[in-house]
Amino acid sequence: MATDSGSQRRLYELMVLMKAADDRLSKGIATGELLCVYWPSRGQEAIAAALGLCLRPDDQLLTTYRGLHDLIGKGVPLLEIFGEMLGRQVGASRGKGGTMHIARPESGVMLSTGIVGAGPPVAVGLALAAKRRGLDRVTAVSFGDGATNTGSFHEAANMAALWDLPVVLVCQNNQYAEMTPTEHTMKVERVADRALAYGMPGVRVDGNDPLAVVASLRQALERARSGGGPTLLECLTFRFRGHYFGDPMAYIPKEQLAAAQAADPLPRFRSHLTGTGVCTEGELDDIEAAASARVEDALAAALAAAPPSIDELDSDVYGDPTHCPA
Amino acid sequence: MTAFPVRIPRVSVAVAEATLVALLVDEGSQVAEGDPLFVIETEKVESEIGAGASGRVHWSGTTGATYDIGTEIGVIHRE
Repeated sequence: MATDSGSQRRLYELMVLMKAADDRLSKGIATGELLCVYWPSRGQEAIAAALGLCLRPDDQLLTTYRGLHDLIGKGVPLLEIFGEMLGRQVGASRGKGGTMHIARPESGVMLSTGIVGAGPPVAVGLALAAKRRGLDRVTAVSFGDGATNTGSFHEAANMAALWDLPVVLVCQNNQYAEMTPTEHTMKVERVADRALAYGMPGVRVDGNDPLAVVASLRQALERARSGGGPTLLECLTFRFRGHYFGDPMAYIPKEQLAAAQAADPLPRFRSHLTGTGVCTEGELDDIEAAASARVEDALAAALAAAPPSIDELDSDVYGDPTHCPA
Repeated sequence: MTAFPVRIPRVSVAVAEATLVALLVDEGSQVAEGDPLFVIETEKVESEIGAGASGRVHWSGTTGATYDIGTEIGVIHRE
């Protein structure tokens, strides 16, 4: 099924907003204006935009510390993202979780985890709950290539397949697990091939092409929603700013980084949209200006907000903080 | 005219402090956003820090001193 013009425009709007947020955070952290930590998602926008377009509002998404793009795609307000990163009360976790711990169940974002490989088992539990309750929602879980080397990933993939759970395992293969290239940590060349071991489809797609990701993701969602079980969707991409913001990236060969930047999904999709007549240059300029304005407004509001009060230290931790379970 | 504080940035995830190695512009001079402004050292790595705003720079930090991340070492007066 082809992606219609309106959906293509929506994909670009999401990708641009993700990039604008990343660019502004990066500038602010680099100059000392913003004192937060950040694991940049620049370069991986096409995958998150596809998730944002294809997931229903009641579908669920789990992501990782490198989750800015995923959060934006699933509709977490910028103010709540920036507020959480900067430790403000307006943050999604009231400023007490930080960059690695952003959840917003109202938007379907159930978990951001700082632990590599921790998302898939939680996704399996959420999908099992949906299945037992007779809901037709799907749980998508986003993780990196390194996560597929963890035991928790394999256990989760096995259970999801065994029970035909409505899960889509979305591997954002950015070719590095922290500072280690994929070929140093796995014998197989394609993460998608791991699906064979569990009896589920494994699909590899160009993760820098939002339309390709959308096409594969729609099939996986349809399969999950109709009771067919999980899919492992490997989206091949790259992260342009390294593992954490400020990473000198000395371990990435210059030629590899240059080639990855030449395949930047943003200018590539922009050319597609103008070349096929879906949007004019002027319309895309307007989308970009609107995204930058939204980011500036949200950041200003987050910076102006108060940090959590000490009275809130124990709230949202245990139901009864005085007699909490041992 | 607004003042943009110049702070020691968090150039890495797990650092608490940085040494101010060099000021790259003179007191009272004009800079444009993005111009190289100062150099800090953390964990034996030197990082050149750019200006976060355009304007006239006034320094309060001292080269050779070690500061906590986030410490204000100057200000850029935007006109």
